[in-house]
Amino acid sequence: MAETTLEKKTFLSVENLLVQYKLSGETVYAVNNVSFTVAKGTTLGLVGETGAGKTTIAKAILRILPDHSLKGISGSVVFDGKDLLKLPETEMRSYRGKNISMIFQDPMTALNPVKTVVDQIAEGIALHQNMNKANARIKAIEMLETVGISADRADEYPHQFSGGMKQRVVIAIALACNPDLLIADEPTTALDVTIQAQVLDLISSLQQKLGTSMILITHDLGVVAGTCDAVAVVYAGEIIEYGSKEDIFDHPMHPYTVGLFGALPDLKKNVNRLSPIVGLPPDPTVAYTDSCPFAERCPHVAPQCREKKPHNAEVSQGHFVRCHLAGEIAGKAAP
Amino acid sequence: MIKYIAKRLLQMIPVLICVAILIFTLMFFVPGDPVQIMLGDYTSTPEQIAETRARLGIDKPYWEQLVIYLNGIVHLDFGESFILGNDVGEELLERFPRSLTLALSSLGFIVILGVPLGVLCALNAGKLLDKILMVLTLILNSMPTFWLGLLMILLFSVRLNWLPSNGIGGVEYYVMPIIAASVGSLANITRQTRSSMLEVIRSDYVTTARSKGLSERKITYGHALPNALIPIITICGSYFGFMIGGTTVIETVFSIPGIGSYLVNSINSRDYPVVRGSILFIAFSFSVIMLVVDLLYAFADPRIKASYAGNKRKKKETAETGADEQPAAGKEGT
Repeated sequence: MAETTLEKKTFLSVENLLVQYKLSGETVYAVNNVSFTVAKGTTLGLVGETGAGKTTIAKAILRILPDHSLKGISGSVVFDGKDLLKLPETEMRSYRGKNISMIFQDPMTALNPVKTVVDQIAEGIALHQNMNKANARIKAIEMLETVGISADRADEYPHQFSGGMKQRVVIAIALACNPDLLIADEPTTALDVTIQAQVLDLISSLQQKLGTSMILITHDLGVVAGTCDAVAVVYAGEIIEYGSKEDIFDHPMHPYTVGLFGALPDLKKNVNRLSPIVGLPPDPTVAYTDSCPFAERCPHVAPQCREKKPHNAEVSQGHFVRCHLAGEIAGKAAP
Repeated sequence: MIKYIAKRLLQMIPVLICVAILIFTLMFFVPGDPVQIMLGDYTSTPEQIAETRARLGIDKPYWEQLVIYLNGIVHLDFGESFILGNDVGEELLERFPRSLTLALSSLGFIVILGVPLGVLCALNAGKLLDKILMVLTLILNSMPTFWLGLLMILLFSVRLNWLPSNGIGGVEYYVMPIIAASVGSLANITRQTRSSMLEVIRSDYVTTARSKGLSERKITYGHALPNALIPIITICGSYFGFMIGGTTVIETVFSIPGIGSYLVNSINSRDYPVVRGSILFIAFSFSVIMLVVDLLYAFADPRIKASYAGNKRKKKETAETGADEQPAAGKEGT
């Protein structure tokens, strides 16, 4: 998306990212030609249902996709002027954890059960900031206190922490080296609702304090509304709508985005049934090269949707939609 | 932890008493007469036989013999060999270091070679190297120990005259026995390490480690391997226990005067005190090894350590990680 011009300086730009997995002989088209940019200090929300390819996008940026099932990856991930996908592995390592770091979805499994939490934080610090072990440990304990864990628990093991506390540790690991870009992959999905808000507040306040840019992956539109500047809606490994938070929330154009908002229960109305998006998520082993992947589930489907893949059209400044009928639906969808 | 060790050591006592009674009873009722074997079939008169039986104390009824035997054990007196007439306890202590040397060095051999090989296989899973090693381990695993031992003797002692074929002495005497005894288990440990590592290197915390920018070496040996150790420790432990008492085949093939050959010879000649003493000794060694294995678990996995330490911890947050693997009391099968 070379035509994208956000007012702030972009420092991460992903272009035509394509990731394919192999799964028992079949090809899984996980990410198909995804392009987006993140401006310095802003937050991009990647929204979509489970299996849409959000996590794969994130892991592709860090190049930590599982080797054994990866079939192919192409496109470019330009970070600070360098294409990360073309870097040799050793150079890429110096970016991981230092410039770009990631908060993982499930804090229960993201921590090594046989290492103390302080060791797991200090490890990255010692590596990237050329500190000796003792100093790294001091810094790691500071980090723990920053995320609200008292220093006397530093030498405990992950199994001695609750889920929310573990996620705090994961956040401390991710932010330990003041990364320029933080990728938060559904940081609150595995947590209790009461803890979710705390963790989100913690992430956003630290993000603002450190001036970190963030890619927030979520399927929770409420989380997006609270934290993001720009939003990309991911469906079947493609970004089907992309724009500022206002664009997406106030003028959703793609029928899928409209459906996502429609699926939210409205507290003001007394409804007996929720309104889900009909149908099932698309089959990832099918390459939608000459049709719209959403056609099967789309309430507005037209003949052309099954014959031609929609282009990425800019409907207003910085607001892109991949739908043949974008203009028409927008009018209908407005409540 | 100390409390736990003490508890386990105390638990050993009833186990060993049971083993002692069991082996005594078995040997008492097993057919075959030591006196007949000692004196031969034709030359001895009934008076001689009766006199010898009385001397060895095997003319008394079952209960009386059992009480005498148990009383002896309590005082660490394992009796005297029927055939050789020397003290069984002393003989065991003299032979034990040889079996221990054999067991320890072959354990070291399989760990030092098997674990890295398994890691190598896991890191190259599905590739040519992995496939070759897997086929190789399958072949090695299927080779009978005695057969391999005999082949090695044929090649290295008879043909090339490089290594001594039997007996004990310097390091050179142990080379072939160690290799012959280890090869099967080496293959086994390689396979176990491989599957254990494969499970671990695809887990989330390894991805976390990778996302920190750590080198693959640090990820493999610092994060993945420590988590893959538990099943490896189990195998090593039972292998070691097996080696202490069960290297009979190797000790016989290479004529090493260890515990295993002592036991086999004594069974053949119905030398009851030696059989009982050896079995009890093996059972004791096995119990100790199992205790060490359980302690190693705690060392390898803090979650297990926490379950040993019991309820002393005030700050027990949650128990969601489970893994409260209660160590099973060592079952002595010999």
